[in-house]
Amino acid sequence: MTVLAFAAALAGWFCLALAMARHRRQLGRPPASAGLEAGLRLAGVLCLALSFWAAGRAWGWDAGAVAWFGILTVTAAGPVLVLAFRAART
Amino acid sequence: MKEGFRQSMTWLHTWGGLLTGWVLFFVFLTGTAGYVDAELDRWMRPEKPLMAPQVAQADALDRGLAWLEAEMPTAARWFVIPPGNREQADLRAFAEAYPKKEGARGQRVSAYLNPETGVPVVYRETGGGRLLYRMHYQLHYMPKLAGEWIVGFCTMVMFAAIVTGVIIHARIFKDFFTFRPGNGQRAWLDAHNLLGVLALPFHLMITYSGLLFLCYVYMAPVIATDYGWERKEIRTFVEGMFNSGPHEIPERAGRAVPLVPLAPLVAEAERRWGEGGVRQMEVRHPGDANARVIFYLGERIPDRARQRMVFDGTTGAVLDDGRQDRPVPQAVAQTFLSLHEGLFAGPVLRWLYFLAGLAGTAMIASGLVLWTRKRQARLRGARGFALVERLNLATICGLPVGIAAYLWANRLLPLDMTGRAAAEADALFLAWAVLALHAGLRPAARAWAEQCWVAAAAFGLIPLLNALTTERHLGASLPAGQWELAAIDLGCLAFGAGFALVAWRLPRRRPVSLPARAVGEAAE
Repeated sequence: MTVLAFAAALAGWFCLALAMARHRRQLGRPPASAGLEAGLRLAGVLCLALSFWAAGRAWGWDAGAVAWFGILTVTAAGPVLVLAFRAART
Repeated sequence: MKEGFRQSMTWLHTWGGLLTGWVLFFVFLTGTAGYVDAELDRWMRPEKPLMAPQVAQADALDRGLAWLEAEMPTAARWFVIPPGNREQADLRAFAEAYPKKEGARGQRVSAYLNPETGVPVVYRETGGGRLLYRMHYQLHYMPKLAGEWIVGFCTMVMFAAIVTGVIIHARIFKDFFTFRPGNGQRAWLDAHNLLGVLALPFHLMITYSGLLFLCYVYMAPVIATDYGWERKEIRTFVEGMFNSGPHEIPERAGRAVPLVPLAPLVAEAERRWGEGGVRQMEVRHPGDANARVIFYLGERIPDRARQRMVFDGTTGAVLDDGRQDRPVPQAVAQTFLSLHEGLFAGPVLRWLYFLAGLAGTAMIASGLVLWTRKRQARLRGARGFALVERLNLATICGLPVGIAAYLWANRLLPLDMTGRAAAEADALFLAWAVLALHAGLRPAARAWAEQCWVAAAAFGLIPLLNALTTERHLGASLPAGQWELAAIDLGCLAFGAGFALVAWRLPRRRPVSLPARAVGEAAE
């Protein structure tokens, strides 16, 4: 459950980043269609919600909520670093 | 021209942040170390056993009582903390005598005991992680109250800086994932924004709850209007704020009745809380007809309502077996305090707390650097600019080196030295002062690189120092699976590597010619 909480948050952040035109450009992808963009946003939000659920199951809802915020903070560094690294290379 | 709302917010953010930033850096870094205070305590007492002995809780508690019985048979209270807490493979016992006169504090004795034999163990004298933790709200070398006021003022400004920072960050969602590396002003701005935004829930929580912690200092008159000015009356408030309402403990009866055997009481508590559930034991009026035995369950969720059981100390009857109903304001305040302390956090959550604390520290540091980056083209040569630049370096590199020096002193100072714990703290500030002096004397760009190398060595060599001076080095802690101990050595290695990386990447000289801003725009 702990691993799922981290993984889902990471996936959620990547989906949200991929819904943004600027970051798609950095990865050499064409801008998303309106439908794809909305889909990625929705998937991102659902993943973050899944992470909350997993954190709640792992730690109990009280401590899990605290952990979830921490997980969001730490995992958001994932897309940030990947994008910065990719952009620096291309 | 009348300034816009955003400009005035920017002004407040910039100048409030700059003037308090150096103190806040200290507060955040030592506070972050506070999240691993127990682990540091253990690391700084390498005489502690590597593995916690397997001792039944009832037996350990009994041994604690036996020592207290011999040391202070008549006491207002005894306190025993069995092994198994984060830092401890040992048993702590503590006693407080009845005060000589009303309102005074009774005489106290305390010891670490071997949980298998009950014999006191002596460790090297050290401030441990607790001292760093205490510094983050009381500073050092000054009266407690002065430190609390300075920290409180800076915290208030921090709170304003966070709120204004959100207001002036126009592209908070658009730039959510944006980091454009480099050495220019824009990279520093990106870093500052990211560290602020990604850990924003932590920053808001930690700053607000930090103010709440010492509200009885900062807002004393408000409390006094309800509670009164007497020391005893203020105590009532503080007790209510920090502890759940105490179960009514009667006064001493003055009639001697022996204490009941503990084993059945522990068994009863373990039936409800699970084996090893008792984190602390308190005995009020031991040996008296009105004796009470109180067991505390550790904090498991962020509410600070310590669950406990109260027994009659002469019959063993359960008098109170649960959580107190708290008034809503008390519950809210205590939840904030609990979120701040993170005592309920297990290993993973503790790491998250630690990382969020580091993010806050780095956010402050990047804000300080950003102030100089923004102005270096315009203000270079100005005296104020040079002062800020030097103070930045002296703080951002100097304090970490000071903390490393604190750990070095723990290993190198003679063990039988008097005032050893104070000398460890002196080493911290001495090392810091030396680096501050260095920062003032050397050309800025070169001084940054030199100090980063010093920091890299100061942290990176700690595992080696540990291996040369103790038996609790990585070669012992890793095979034994003692991660709490190994994490300190590994963490120092990571800090060393981080500083080395920064030193490596730093330009040898300050970029001349084009102001940073123009370079940034050209790159866009």
